[in-house]
Amino acid sequence: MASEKDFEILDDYAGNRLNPQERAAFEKQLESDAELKNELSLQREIVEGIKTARKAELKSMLNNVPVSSIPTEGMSVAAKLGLWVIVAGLVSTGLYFYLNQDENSVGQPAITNEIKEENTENTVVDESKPAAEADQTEQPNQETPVQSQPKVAEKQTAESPAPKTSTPATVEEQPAVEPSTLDVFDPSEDAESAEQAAAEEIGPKVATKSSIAVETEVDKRYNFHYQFRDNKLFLYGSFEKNFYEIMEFFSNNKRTMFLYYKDNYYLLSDADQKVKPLSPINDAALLKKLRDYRGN
Amino acid sequence: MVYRVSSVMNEKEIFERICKGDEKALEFLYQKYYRMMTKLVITNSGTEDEARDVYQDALIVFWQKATSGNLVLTSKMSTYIYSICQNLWRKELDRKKRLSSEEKDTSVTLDTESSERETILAKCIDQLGETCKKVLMFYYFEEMSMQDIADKLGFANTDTAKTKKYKCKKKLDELVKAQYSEHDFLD
Repeated sequence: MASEKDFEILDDYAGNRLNPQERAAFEKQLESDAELKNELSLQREIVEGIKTARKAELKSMLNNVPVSSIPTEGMSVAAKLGLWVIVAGLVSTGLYFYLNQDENSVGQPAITNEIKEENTENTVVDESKPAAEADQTEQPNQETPVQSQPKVAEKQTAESPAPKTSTPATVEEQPAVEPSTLDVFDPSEDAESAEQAAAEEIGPKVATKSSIAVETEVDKRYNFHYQFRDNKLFLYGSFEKNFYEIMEFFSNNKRTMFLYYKDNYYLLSDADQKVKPLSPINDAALLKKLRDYRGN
Repeated sequence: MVYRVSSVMNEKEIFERICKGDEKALEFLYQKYYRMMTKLVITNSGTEDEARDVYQDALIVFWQKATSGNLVLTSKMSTYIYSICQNLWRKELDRKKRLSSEEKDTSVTLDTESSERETILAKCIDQLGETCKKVLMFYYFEEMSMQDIADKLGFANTDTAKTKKYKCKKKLDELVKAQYSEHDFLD
């Protein structure tokens, strides 16, 4: 008859809590104790049941997490790469028309040509990266002068896509395509103000880590708001500590900022010091761009 | 045009939180790498559903290893999770291949008794209180330390966690044994 102590060891054994010596000793004991052996198989079954239940719970938890859906299905990377080269020109042209139909647009034909060229190149470089590459936002500290861009791009395209070929150049190449897109969706039309000029000083064309100081605060009056005050961004609400990201774009003497939080993007306007509510961006085209920047 | 990003999220801190069993950190990670990981399956003849499934399974494997303290990260989390995804998807593709070539003969023989036992077991677990369920899951699946379990569930100390775990397990054992003997599953 197995003792209470035996059952305890048995439970530790089934729960993977014994050290190698204890395990060996217990396994020896098992050999000569049929009852214990029976009990062990039952205990293992129960532990398996608990694990299965937990796994199912975690899966259903993850299923409830909002994620961005995947646009393309069943295409190989190579096929997509080719497609992108062809489509890139079309996209930027489309982008141009898209921008132009908006009153806020500052698009000009001259700029469009430039965009078109860069876009083709950028896209090629971007797609040549393997999916395995970790997202680009994790290398924000590296700096590469933009002048070397074309060279780097050529080199990358020529190389076969091997992991870890991502360079800072890739990080900053994409933004060059975007300025007008972002402007279009920037509701702060007074953005050309003197305030913005200050932002420009921080050196052009370098992708670096954002210098914005961010603080999260709990204030009963504001459940999901933000405010720029004393050169700091304050986020009001029950923000999960450290689980947000501030994206800053500088172009045409303008700074446009976005908050990424829980798979949503929010425009941050620093035009004044008022407390403003955060409302997620819904525009599909802009969302896609922002996601591309973040690399997810 | 300049692009700056403040990566307020720090890889090391997220990993530490995951090791402590912080589900919010897991959700965060899930979102962060969703597109990157699912792309792997989708670009290798998988559907989006399969991709999601594989990614979730991979992330849960990672989570389980991290919470149990059995994982020392030598690469980035994304690299590690990606390699689990690769393995799982490769296995799944192999399984599919085998299924189609073997005419499904062998796999059809369903063990009705064991599936019935599984159902009973799941029902018994479901009958436990929420805290009991959590204690047992954290103990057996996450393999968390008693200290982490106490922290997570707000117990006064590790002794409380130990006692709770002991009692809950006893209760589950009794429920299962009663059900099994009712169905003549016990020898």
